[in-house]
Amino acid sequence: MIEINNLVKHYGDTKAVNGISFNVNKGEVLGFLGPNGAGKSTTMNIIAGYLSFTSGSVKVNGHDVLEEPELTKKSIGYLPELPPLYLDMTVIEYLTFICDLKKVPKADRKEQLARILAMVKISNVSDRLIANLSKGYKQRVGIAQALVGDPEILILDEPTVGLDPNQIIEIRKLIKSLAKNHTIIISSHILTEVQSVCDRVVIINKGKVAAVSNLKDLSANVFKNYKILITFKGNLKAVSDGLMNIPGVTNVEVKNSDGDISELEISVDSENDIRSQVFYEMVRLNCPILELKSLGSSLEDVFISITKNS
Amino acid sequence: MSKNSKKTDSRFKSLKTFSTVSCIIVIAIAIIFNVLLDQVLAPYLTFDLSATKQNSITPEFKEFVDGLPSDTKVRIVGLFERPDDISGSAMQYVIPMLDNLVKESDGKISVEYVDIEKNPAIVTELDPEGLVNFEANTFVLNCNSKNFVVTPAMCFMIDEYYLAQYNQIKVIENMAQVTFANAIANLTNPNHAKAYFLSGLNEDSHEYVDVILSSLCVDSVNLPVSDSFTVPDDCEILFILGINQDLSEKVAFEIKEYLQRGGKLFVAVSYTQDNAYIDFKNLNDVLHDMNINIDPYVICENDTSYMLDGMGLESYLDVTSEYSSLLTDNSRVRASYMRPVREYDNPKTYINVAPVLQTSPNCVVGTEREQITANFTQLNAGMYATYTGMENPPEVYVFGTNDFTNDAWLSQNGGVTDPNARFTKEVIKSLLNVDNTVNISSQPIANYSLNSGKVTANSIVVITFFLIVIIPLAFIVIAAFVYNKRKNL
Amino acid sequence: MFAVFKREFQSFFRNPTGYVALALFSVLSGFTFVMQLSSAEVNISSEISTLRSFFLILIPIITMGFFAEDKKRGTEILYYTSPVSLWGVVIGKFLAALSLFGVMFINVFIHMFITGFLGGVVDIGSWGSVIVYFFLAALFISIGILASSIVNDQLLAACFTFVIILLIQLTNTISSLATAALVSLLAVSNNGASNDKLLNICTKISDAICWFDPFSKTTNFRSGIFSLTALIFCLSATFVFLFLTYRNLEKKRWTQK
Repeated sequence: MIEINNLVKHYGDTKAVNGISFNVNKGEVLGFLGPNGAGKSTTMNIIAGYLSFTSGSVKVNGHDVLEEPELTKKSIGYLPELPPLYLDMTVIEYLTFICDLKKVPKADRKEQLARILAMVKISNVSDRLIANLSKGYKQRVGIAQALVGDPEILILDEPTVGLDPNQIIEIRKLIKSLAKNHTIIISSHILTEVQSVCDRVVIINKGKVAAVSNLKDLSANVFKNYKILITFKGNLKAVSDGLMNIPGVTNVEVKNSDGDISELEISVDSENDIRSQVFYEMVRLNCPILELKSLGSSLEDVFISITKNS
Repeated sequence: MSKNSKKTDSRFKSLKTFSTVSCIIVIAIAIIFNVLLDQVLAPYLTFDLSATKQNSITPEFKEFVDGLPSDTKVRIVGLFERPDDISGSAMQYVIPMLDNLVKESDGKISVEYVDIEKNPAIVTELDPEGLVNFEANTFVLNCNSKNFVVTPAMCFMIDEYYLAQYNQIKVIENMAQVTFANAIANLTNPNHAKAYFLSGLNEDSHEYVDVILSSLCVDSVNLPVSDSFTVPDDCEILFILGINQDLSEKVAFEIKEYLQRGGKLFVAVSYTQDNAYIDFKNLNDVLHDMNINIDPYVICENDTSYMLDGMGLESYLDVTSEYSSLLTDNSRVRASYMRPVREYDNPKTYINVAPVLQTSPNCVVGTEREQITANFTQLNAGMYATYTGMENPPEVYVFGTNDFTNDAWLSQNGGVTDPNARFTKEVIKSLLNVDNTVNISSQPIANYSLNSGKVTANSIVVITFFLIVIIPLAFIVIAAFVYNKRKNL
Repeated sequence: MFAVFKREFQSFFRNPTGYVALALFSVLSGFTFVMQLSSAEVNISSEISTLRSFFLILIPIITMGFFAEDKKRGTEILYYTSPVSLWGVVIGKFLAALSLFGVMFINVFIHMFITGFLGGVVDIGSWGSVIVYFFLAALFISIGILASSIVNDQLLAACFTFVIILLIQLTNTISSLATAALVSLLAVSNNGASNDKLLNICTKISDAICWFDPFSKTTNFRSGIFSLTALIFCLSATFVFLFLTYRNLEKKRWTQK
């Protein structure tokens, strides 16, 4: 669907994007991850046709974005970081204008707008002034704008940034529902977001691709090296020794000890999940587990380690 | 790194080059295209759609220009910088007309604009001998090292009544083509008649008359009085204007001789502080040959419809019906401190005398101190005399006022376009044997007056209220309404 | 192009801006007209030539927001990522502003009607003035649009436009002043001796500057003399400024972060 090959973009002497290559397949949701200033927005702007680039190639449906911009722009719906909203228009006026801009045939217009309004759940505010809408609604109008013209591809740049948790959940739900019949690229610097909606992630840092993988692979990578936090009632010395005997455990550290109750941090270097083994060991030692928690099981650590290494 | 970036930045560079070059090319093409258009096609792409065709050369003028010898080179120099906005100024009737004149003249006429203050060298260039007094904001026509000055005031006529009523100048007639055509005719005509002005008698200056003569292709020459005074043979007209001393007997004798030869004489003497007590015995002696006498009194008008001041010393004059052709339009001539001119008692019957300018029937004559006549009577301020039954008879116009020829008076009253000056011009023309003037009609200026019956004070108030209160207010109300409504959507 | 035109034109009437501009124009033109009316003599051409001096205020008000506001709100990205050409965007905005002038000009048409009704004359020169007014408006709008696309701040764009229009209105004065200054400078450098050749060059330069003055080019229209070259000059100058705007927008594709 989208092929990006050795994409380079300079601003004077700085290289915002320095040789990025990846593909986006039809129907998948691609997470585009990276810290602020990594080149996410630049790359997305390039795909959307906003910016030109220094070298490399970007192809959408086999068409080059520089050579056939009109064609590629037609198949892309783009929500930039700052939604491009005219605050002095009502939602419906604004979306009608976008229809004009994207040359949606007059006949399809009414039906399409009704569908989009329903899809992003803004039918109830369609006659209100955009300036008077909440941030979450503005973001939805932004997404609606991207959906006008029925593009196959949606590019959403940080769609949840600046929203409150409820709004974030709503937007994520919306993205999941859109994923059914769109190819979507979402950029984010928040992992949980990517985790919750994406099939695959591309992690970029300092203008380069740091990792490309599907979520399973990443998780596997995560489970190789992790920590477990355990709180229990019983003899601290016996438990520490017993846990050290489990294969893969490299270190046990006492975090907290208050009479009977202690808290340990277990460092693990293994591809297997050893939490069940810990449980059986504790049963054997007759020490009841009060709490067992896997630490660093999220993508954050991976992200940090990858971005640090590269 | 820098090497690498140079190489990879080639797209940026080529885009930048393309952008810059395309901008430069578009600007360059636009300028070159317009310059070419301006230089080559401008005359063909200009259309005079105006009803009066103010600035298009009239067919008569075109015919006149075509009739000039093909090697004629008339250089018209505007002694000022060409203004960008000429609307509303007198130049709006001149500059575009001159542009058209150049286009129509086949290279015979050229026009340029030189600021005389910035470029004083133009004076010596045009007039190496320093004969003409150049002033800024005038035009100089130069041909065969002769110069002719045209002032903007010469290029239009104003509405006298409107000026008196509203104290605003309203141009009613475009004279630009007439004036320039006359000037060109004057410069290009080799057969100039000569007019002599009697000088050395403490007389007033007569530059405006010079201008009038010049427009008739007549050169002005001063003829000083002396013991060896004679009137030259080439004298077409002799002027005795605004003298404040009487002639000597010798001079009077020579002028009599001149008249007997069929000479043309133009006399204008006012009642002034300097000559109030001079009775001009020798001048009257000359005039007696034509059966005319100038009295040493001042005319005092008593008819209020003629009076222009409280004393009746300045008043309107009527042109007698016999000479009404000397004043072509409905304007009126007027004068101040006039001496009465009357028929003398010369018994010769071949002398034909007729009044030209008359007062109302309610006049008295007097000096500044006392009233001379008791009863109201009609007086003459100007008379004409000639001999009948004679080939090439002498002709004389005698005026008891110099307000038709005096610089001081004319300069304050509209110069050569003043009715008095135009009257003078017609008088001179009638005295001249040859008519070198080009007859080109002036053009009326579009009249933007409203129908006075429809423009009442009430209708103006209603329209004013509607235009500058209702309409703007309506927009403001709509603005407030829209703002309020949308604000809360 | 039509989409942009429609949005911009409607936006004048969604906000108070358009109505304020209309009200302002109504007052100004109405006042000029009534002044003439009270002297029982109405020349529509001179009313229009008075109105031309208000370009100085009206054009910046109308054009300042065109691109500056888009940049501030981030809405310009719509034009880059939609399947419309930037050229169409520029033309659309330009036509919207010109159309607003058309709406404002209804006032003058009303004045013409009143003049005719009161027995006055609306001659060919008046229509010539109308034509010139729109060509000059087009030229100044294109300048305003260019300023708005170059400068990021609305107010700055307005000031910029104001200054340029002022300069154009004063072209002749400026060129003569510049020539005078140059002449005196040369005189000083030549120890007071004035040089005819240099003087000549100075005059030529001033003439060349004045050649660009759209006001003097179109001045004959009010007396009914229609010069197509003057209109072509205005049109091509308009095109140049719009083209520069287009280039300036296009430039952002490869220079902007």
